[in-house]
Amino acid sequence: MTGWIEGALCFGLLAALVAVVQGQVLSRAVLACAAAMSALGLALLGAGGGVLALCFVLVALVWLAVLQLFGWMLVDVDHDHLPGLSWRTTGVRVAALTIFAAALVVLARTLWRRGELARAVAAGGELAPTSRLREALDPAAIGGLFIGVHGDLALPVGLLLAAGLLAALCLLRDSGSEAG
Amino acid sequence: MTRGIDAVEWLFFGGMALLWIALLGLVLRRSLVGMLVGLGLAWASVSLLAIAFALFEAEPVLAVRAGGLALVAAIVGCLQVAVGIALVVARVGRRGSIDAEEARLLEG
Repeated sequence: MTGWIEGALCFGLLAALVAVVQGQVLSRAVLACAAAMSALGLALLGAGGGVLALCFVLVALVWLAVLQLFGWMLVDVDHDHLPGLSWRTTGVRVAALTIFAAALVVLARTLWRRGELARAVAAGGELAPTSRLREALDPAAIGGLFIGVHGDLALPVGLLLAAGLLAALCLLRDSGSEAG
Repeated sequence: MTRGIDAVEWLFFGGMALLWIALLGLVLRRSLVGMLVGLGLAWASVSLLAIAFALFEAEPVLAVRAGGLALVAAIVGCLQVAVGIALVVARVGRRGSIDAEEARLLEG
C-alpha cells in the first residue's frame, strides 16, 4: 500500500512550493521547509529508505537550524522588503523555468515509456520491500565503502568528524577580529 | 495493461519535481536568504534522487555506493548552505542589503 507515501510526497512538494513562493518571512519559510523535509523523510521511510531516510531528515534539520540561526543575525530578515522583479526579468525567467520543467517531464516520460524505471524496480523488488537496501542500512557497510577494512570504525570516525567540525566552527567565531 | 507506479518511482518523480521547485526559488527570489532556501531544497532533491536510485539497485554493492553518494551529497549540501549564509551575513554587514540584484561586484 503506497497511498500514504504518495500523499506524503505531495504534501512535501506543496510545502516546499509554499516555502519558495510565500517565503517573504524567513521563519515561515523555515517552518514550511521543515514540514516539507518531514513529509519527504516519511515518504522515504515508507519506501524502504531506512537509515538513509533518517540521515536525510537529520541533515535537513541541521540545515534549517543553521539557516534560522544565521538568519537571526541579519537585520530586517523577517521582512526582506525587496520590490518584485521587473516584468521583463520575471517573464524571461518564467520562460526558462517552463523550458526546464518541460525537459524534466520529457525525461521522466521517456524513462517511464521505455520501461527503464519499471525494469529497475522489478530488479530491486526481488528483495523483499522491507529488506531492500539491507546492506545500505548497515552503517558498517557504508563505513566499509569509505574506509575499507576499517569499516567497523565508522561510528568513532563519524563522531571525530563531527567534533572536528564543531571545533572549527568555535574557532571561526573569533575570525571577525582580524578583519578590523 | 497499465502497471501502477511503485513507491520508489514516486520518489524519483518527486525528486525531479522538488528540483524544479528549488530552481524556482533560486531564479525568482531577489533575497539572498530566499535563494539559499532554494539551494537547500536543491540538495534535498539530489539526496532524494540518490536514495531513490539506491532503492532501484538490486546489487547490494551498488546500493551501498548510491547510499554513500546520498549521504555525501546531503552533508556537502548542508555545509555549502552554511558557508553561503555566512557570506550573506558578511555582505549584510558591509552593504546592509540582501538584494541579489545588487550583488554583482566581485571584490578581491
